Amino acid sequence: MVVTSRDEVTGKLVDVDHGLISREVFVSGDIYQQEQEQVFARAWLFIGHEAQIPKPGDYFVSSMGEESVILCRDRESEVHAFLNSCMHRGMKVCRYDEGNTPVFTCPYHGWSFATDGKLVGVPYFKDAYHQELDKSKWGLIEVPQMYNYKGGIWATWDKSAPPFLDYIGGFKLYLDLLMDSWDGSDSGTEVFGGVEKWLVPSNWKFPAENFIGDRYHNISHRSVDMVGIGPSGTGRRDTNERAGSRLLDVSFPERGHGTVMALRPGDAAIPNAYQDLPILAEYFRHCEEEKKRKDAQLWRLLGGPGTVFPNMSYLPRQPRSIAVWHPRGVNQTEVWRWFLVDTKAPQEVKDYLRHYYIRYSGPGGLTEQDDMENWNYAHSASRGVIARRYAYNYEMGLGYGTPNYENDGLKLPGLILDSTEAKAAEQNQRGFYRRWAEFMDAEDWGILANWRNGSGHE
Amino acid sequence: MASSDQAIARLLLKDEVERFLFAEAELLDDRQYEEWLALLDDDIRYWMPMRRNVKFGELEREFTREGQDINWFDEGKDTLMRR
Repeated sequence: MVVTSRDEVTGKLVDVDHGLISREVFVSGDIYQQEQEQVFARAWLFIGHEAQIPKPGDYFVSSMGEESVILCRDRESEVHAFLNSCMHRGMKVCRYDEGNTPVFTCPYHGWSFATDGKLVGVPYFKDAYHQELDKSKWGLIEVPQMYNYKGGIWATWDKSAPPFLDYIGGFKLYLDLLMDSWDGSDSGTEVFGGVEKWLVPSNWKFPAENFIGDRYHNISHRSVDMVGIGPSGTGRRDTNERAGSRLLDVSFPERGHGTVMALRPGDAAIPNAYQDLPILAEYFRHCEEEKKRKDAQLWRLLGGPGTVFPNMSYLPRQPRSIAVWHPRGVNQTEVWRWFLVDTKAPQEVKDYLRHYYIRYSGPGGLTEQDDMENWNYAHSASRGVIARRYAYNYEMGLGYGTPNYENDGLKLPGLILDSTEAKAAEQNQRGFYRRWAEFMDAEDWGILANWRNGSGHE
Repeated sequence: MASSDQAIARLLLKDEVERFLFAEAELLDDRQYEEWLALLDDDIRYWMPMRRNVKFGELEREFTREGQDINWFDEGKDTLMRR
């Protein structure tokens, strides 16, 4: 299928008003190519955590869409993100995953760039270039906008994109459940060494929509829920913590972000959780008490999986982590997963959580491996010429969200669907694809920053 | 003579190890997981590091560290049993 002009996507391929989304959105090579330009070259993307590059000269090679970027700290401790491609003939100037260096020397012809991106060395500068090459014009390409949000580093290739905090908008309240310390104090997270990286044979949007709010797939994780691998002893890992809570699906369709979470009743007591290890139980109880003391209303929020449009997803509780779904062709996604922990948590707590993260996550994790199977075969069974004729169904809970949600005196931002009785809804997925379609159709950020004119209802 | 006795002992040990591995593979092929688990010591360590592409001379960064970093696997018999 060839999409030739704008305004072809909204309403046609993506018909969220009727809960219908064409499979072409997932399997068409042309659409994939267009989304590199329309989505990945314009949106804010997560590229790493400042804790990965604590010292001058530290670097971590990341990715924005398909493209390799270097996240590094220069000699003055300034953080930068550069396109990892030599200005002379395009070779990757850094072929390593991470490390520390005074300069990035291109392995092809030897142009070298300082950690602030400046071109500092050119072989035969005197003899072959007769000192006429203007080195100041040939530094590494730097992202026009970067933002350090509570340790997480975000960047966009579009200089006209709104500032990061405007891009996130009211979703900040929910993202903070991931980025703040467990006791509710601002920031204070670090990442463990080792970023999990693996390939999944499916389009990147399958995992992005799964994390934005698919409560419907508990059948997939039945075996691991039965076995019980969580920190609270047996059964599903967080049953105790969620007792008596309302389940809320929160969508920001004007921005594309969304999350599912639980809201404890106004009079909830601190539950017994993390019972596997006394020091762990004690740490979490202490943090819960602190958090409740700071803000008893906000304490009621129990964060759940979420996605920041387009391809950063996260789990704010355990296994507390950030995943980025890098597009690697229409039929393939490279998953990267970073694991976060409170910097001030006791070592035993960090050790316990690290083990839990590992046994839950990644291709070898007891829970996450179930998801790989779904995305893999959903994608491959949608590629055929017959399968492509039939749209996917996203009707669940259509029109049941409310923009002015309030419960026991707590007002929450976003379009909120209470799915406690319904158990699941697809509002967040619809919000995601509504936004995706807008990105595919819109000429520029003047149109995309539509929240400035009050848009945002389902 | 002594050295050939040692060589024979080594071969016998190798044979014993091979037979053990074959028996283990057969149990797994036959889905006899309980019997397979019974073969493992209670303090077994099961660890698989992640590999990084690093600069020559920085080989200490090549693998994630056991007991410190995130690894593909880093577990013991308890998790193996649940699997």
